Amino acid sequence: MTEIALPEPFSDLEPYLAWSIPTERERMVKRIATPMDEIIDFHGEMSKRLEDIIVYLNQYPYAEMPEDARRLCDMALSLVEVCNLVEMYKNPDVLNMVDADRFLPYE
Amino acid sequence: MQTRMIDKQWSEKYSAVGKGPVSTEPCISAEHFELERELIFRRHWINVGRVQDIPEPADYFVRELEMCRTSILVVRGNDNVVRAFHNVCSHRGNTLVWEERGKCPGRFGCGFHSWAYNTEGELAWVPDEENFFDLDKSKHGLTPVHCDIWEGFIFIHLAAEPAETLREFLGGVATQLDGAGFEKMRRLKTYKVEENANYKTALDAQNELYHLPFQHRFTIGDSFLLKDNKYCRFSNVNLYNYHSVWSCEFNPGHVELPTEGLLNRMDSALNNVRMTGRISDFDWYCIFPNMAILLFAGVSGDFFMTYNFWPLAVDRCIWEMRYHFPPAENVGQRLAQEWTVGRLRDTLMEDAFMHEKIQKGLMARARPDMVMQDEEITIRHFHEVFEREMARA
Repeated sequence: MTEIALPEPFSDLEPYLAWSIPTERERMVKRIATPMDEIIDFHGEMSKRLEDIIVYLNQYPYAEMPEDARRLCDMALSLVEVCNLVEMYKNPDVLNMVDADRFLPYE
Repeated sequence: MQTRMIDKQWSEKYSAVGKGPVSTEPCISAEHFELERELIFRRHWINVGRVQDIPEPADYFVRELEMCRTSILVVRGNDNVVRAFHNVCSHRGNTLVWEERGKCPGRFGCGFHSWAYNTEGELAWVPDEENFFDLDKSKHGLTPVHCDIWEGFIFIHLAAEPAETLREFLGGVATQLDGAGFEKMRRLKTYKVEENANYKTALDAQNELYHLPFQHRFTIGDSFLLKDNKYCRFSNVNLYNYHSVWSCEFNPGHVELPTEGLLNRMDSALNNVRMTGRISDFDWYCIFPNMAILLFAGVSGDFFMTYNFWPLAVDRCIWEMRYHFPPAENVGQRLAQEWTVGRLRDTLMEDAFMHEKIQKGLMARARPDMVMQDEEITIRHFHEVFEREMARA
């Protein structure tokens, strides 16, 4: 039997599995390393499904999800990481931020 | 409290606070920094954590206080009492606990000769004890540090006899926030950034909103109420003996971003946890000498943050930020909280960047002082308190 990466209703999002990243620190790194057009593409496809994703994931406690749901949740967290970049800042070059590898999250 | 968009209102309310320039010396002088070790950090209550950091008996954390050249072990004893000790073995001064946090496995054992202490700090076991000369174990427990708790915030005081109680030290802040409901919140996230900035430079930079529509013009959007759509104005300022609080209103005309709006709608807000004692939508308490408590009115529940600025050197500090939210009841609510954290985090990353630019500029000694307007009165107050306490020597 083939391992199913994402819950069945969201299998169309599998091209974006690289955004299923378990920690905030790694999501920050991915955001910085990814060209803006790729971020816009991921944001566009994920945004369309976000409402359905939340409805689906709400059946589980946050800390105890099956693996496929966890992957989907981590993708939603990546959307949360990049959404303001797309919807508000528009251009990452306008941001004068301390390097992400110095600003360390502890969850 | 409704924002009055008028000029110079806070200096009118607090006419004893100066209006002249403020010296840059405390932010850049190495000599000054050396004096602060004793006069500021060993003579005032310092917040080191929250009771939720050590919820169960035998839970502990270690707080490195570089400023005081000591390390503090904070432990919840098996008797459920929270105590603080110098993290130093009573035998020959070795650093006792090396982990940042954990649960004591029965006893704290020293890595040098295995002297062992219980969770109440008593010396419980000495290997080859018979070979010592009249060793009285009861007099060789861990060296205690004064420790007190207000609303779940753990404070320590390094003086042999603190000149005032924690309650007296907190003064009007405690009166305003007694029973505020901090215990309803859980820590969701902590960030730390080591900065090339004096801790006061960093704290000052956070202690106003004048910079908001400028430095954060790309990241803050229309979240805050502005005078003439341009400038921030506080809705209230209170100055206390040591501390201060400013407050402001969020923009009621704020237009939600797409993801923000969706998350707010999906955040079913089952718990809708609110705090009491809030003054406005956003209250920013400066807790002398190195802490801030921030209260926010969230869409579906309130939340709070703390900042602790840990001095390392005259031009280096660690800025520690903690976010506390009501426990999320479902994934939707958690995602909404993560959005809020991330949004604020981006502006704080801008702030951290700026702290170093400011420090560099101050250290050039191009000017001996800084000019401050009415909306920077809490910074001015902080510096006045600072100089007052330094002069108490």
